[in-house]
Amino acid sequence: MTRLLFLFSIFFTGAASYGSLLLPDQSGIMADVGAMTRYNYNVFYNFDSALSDASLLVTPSVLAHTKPRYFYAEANAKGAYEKFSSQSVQDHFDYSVSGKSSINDGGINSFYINLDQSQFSDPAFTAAYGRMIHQASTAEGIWNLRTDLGNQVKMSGQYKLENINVPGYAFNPHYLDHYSMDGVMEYDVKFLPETVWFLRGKAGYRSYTSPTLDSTLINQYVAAKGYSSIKTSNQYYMGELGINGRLTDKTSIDAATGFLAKIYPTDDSFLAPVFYLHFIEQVTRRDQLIAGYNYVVEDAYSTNYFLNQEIYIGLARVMGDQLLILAQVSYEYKNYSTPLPRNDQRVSGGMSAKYSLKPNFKITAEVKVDLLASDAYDTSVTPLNPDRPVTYKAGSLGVGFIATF
Amino acid sequence: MTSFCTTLKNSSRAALVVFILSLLASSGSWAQFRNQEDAEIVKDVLKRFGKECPLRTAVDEDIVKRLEIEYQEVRKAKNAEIQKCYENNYSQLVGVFHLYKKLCDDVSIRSKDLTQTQMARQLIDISKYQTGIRSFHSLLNDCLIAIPEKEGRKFMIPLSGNELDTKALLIQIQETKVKDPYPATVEPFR
Repeated sequence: MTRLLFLFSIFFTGAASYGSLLLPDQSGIMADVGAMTRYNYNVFYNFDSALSDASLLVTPSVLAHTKPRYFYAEANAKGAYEKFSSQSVQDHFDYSVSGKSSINDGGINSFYINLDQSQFSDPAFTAAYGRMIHQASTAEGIWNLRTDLGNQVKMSGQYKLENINVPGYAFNPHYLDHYSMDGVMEYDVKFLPETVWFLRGKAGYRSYTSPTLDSTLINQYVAAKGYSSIKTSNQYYMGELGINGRLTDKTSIDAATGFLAKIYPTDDSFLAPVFYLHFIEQVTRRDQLIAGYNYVVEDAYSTNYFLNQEIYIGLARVMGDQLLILAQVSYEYKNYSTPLPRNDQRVSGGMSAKYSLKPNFKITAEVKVDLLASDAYDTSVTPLNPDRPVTYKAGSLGVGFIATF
Repeated sequence: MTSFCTTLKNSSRAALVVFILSLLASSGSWAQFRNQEDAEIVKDVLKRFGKECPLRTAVDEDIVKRLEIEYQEVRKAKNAEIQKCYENNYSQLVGVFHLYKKLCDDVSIRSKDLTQTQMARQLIDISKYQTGIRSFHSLLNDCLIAIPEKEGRKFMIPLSGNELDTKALLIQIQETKVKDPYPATVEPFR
């Protein structure tokens, strides 16, 4: 608690001093802090014994931006500190520090550079096993070229390095450490003022830098199944055709379909079509509805990749001038690849309310439900797989505030 | 955010038109462009306007119809302040709508084989009316909002694109999504 008050005092002092800084024109600093007390059901995401605990979550963020004549620059820092009342193994501090800059934004040729350093952690499985901490560094460069009729060519390249660690534990899942390089090329054809057709090509390479498993993992779990590694370096190529923008004055769309080749040298590769379809509908002056379907391939912890089929629906309703109600529900079917295949079904839903007490102060409340049903189980006392495939029911209920400076 | 982007886009277009007009002025003749490159730029501006204006016309037409219905209600309500707002702005708004519609028809249909004089005239018209009814609609809404006890708001039609900030709300809805507790890889922030 003392640490928490200390964090608060630093943040508030920092916010007050930022406000007095003298900055050139078109520059500014925005800061906000959120705090929420939560009741968490099943904090360890267990199958058979759900343990509940209360927590306090503090989320400060600061954004500084400046726009001299020829370029734009932005620095953004976000943090999330959560303190649990009895299960201190779940205490964590996540953060993201990022910088963005652009040259000649909106011009015929424009360039963008984005840098990011992030850390986040996954919930611990038991009180004896710490949270798994991810640290990632990302660098991205983008070049846009606009043609005479508003069509444009976009080219971007990204490099990311990610390391995973469980402090103080007997073995570490370093086999998940990797770096990746991705390139995207897109051609947008503007056929309405706010709508484009696009043709997009993507290619990338992901390399696992320490693929050999820890001896504990090999002896106790993976060797029994005949595998010495569960993550393999791979490359992918994808071509997509899509549409993005406003369909009518009330409806927006973002959809694409294409073919993905995700190639693994030893395990099963993925060679099949993929697509996504997202709609935003402004139903009335006070209601907005979103709905979508994803049929996409994502990376997995416990095996090479999974095919995720997700259907979701969400709603925002503005009530009066001060109350905003938000809700989203989704169903996912995840089909995991070799070497450790399994199938998961997940239903999750969240609802939140934000009440503006003053222009810079909101009271918030939220409820979240997360249900997972898996056809594979790992109920061993010592968890050996970082993405333990286990059926669980979890949820949380919270009340808090957000103050903007 | 949407309105900010629209304002930015409009202001950059306005700057372009002012720039081109200054080129024409510096050439000493309003009917002749300084060189072929200027003529090509003007052709592109007209072509783009011709492509984009039908959608704006359709949106504005819908607003004009809705305002007409509201105006009938205003007459029935017999509130002097509200009526004054409509009297001061509605007829101008409708007039600008018809001018914009005609300009759109002219530019869309006759984009080829125009003389430089005709192109220059269209360019000047575009610079005058490129925002359509928006500025007059905005004035009407400002007038209605200023009426005490929110009486004027009952007869107000929101500006196009200002009904809800769809992008900002989309982000807020996505924030309510329950994140996967064990995601495979880190995103910049979650």
